[in-house]
Amino acid sequence: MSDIIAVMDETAVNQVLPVAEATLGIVSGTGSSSLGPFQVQHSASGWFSGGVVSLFPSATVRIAECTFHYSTHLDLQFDLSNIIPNVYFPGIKIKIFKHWVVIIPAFTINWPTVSIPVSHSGTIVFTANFRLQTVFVNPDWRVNAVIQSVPQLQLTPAASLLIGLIGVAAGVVLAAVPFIGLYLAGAVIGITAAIGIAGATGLLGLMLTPLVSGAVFPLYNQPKHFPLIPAAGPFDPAVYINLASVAAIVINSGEPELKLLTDVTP
Amino acid sequence: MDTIETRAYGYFDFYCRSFIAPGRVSYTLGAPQSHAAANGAGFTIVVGDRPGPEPVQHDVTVCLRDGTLQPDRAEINAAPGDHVLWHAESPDTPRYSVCGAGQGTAWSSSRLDEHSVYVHIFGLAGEYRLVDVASGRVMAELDVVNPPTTSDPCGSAWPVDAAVVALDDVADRPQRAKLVVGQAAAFAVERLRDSGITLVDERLLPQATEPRTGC
Repeated sequence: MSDIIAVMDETAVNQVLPVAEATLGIVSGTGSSSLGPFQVQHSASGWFSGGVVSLFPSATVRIAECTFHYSTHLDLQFDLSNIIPNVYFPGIKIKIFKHWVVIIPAFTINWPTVSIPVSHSGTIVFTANFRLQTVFVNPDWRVNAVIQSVPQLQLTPAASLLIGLIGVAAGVVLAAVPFIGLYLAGAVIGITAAIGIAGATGLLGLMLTPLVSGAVFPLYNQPKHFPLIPAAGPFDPAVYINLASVAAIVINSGEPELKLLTDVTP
Repeated sequence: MDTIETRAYGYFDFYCRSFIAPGRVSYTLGAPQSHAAANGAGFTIVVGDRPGPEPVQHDVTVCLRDGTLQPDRAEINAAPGDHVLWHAESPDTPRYSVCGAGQGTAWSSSRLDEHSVYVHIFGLAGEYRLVDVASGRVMAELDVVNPPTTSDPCGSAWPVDAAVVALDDVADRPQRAKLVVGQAAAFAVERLRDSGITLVDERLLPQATEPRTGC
């Protein structure tokens, strides 16, 4: 039998969730990867809000309809020659004032390597199961909700938007490439086609899934050594206790409840 | 922005010069300030005594070899009336100019005269005002526009005709022309007032200081 038992029903846990989300704050990550002909440097950050908590024995917390607000920045680098073929200048004859003809020889234009920066923000709504985790991080006992498995993120709408943004950004960047004016439309189509919805979805997943799946919501935080009864005067000092152990479980005794089981030592 | 200037030639620039009188011409390749350091050492154009049936163009590819700019051939044998076209080997070739002397005259690709033509292939759309550095006069105003966009990457839409821009050093008004990206413009001197025209995009020049007023 535990020395102290604290109980929260689902209503109470739902009240704790916004505090836990605020405490978690902003999560972020960076990385790089290959995407078809592109090298991608990316960074992402975001924060959580909302959600409805349900409790399931023996230690599962489900958060449904949680919203992840994200911002991403990616830098697509690629050799333009991999997107559109190098062009061949056919050579020309120029007649100058009737008395001489200048012949400009043929040559090939090799496209340069370009970098396209794209920023994109949005929200995704997900549902995930979390397990209760109790850890002692000196000097506190902490009870966290740790995600159990990677949730399926619905990224297709965001991927469509990202493809559109990449197309616009590519148009701006490529407009400064000499001679691209002849092939600008083809180049933009080539770039967006080379990525495709599947590629953009995969890229967003690469950036955002680690942030969501790595989320640890802090539900409870208590110093191991704390005053049970505060000091009442110079001759009546505070009474301290030590929390020797803390455990968190979900039980269903009519309605699901989250129980914190605590053993104390003087 | 396209770099358009006769002081230094890049990959999309071509300098053409005709040689009328028989004799020996020597020339150097390099950055404009480096020609004096060449101290007479250079490359040769030998113009024979008898003109050929038709004027012939001799192409010279300017290459970077062992840290110096060199032509792909050290000597050219030409006939009177022939012309020589210099062009860079690759986009990585440093910008260069050509300075020559012989037949009683000295010339430079920087200064266009009646015997020379500057050709530039436009890669970027925009409005270009080309001025003569010496006089400060606007010699040409060009409006370069993108062609109708195409998704065809095979180059079938490449504009193959060139625009000839006659530089008139005496006229009051600059020449005006409208071109599309990919089109070549040939700048040839029609009438010359002084020793030559150094053609430069106005944006490449230092900003003119406002005239001071007051005391």
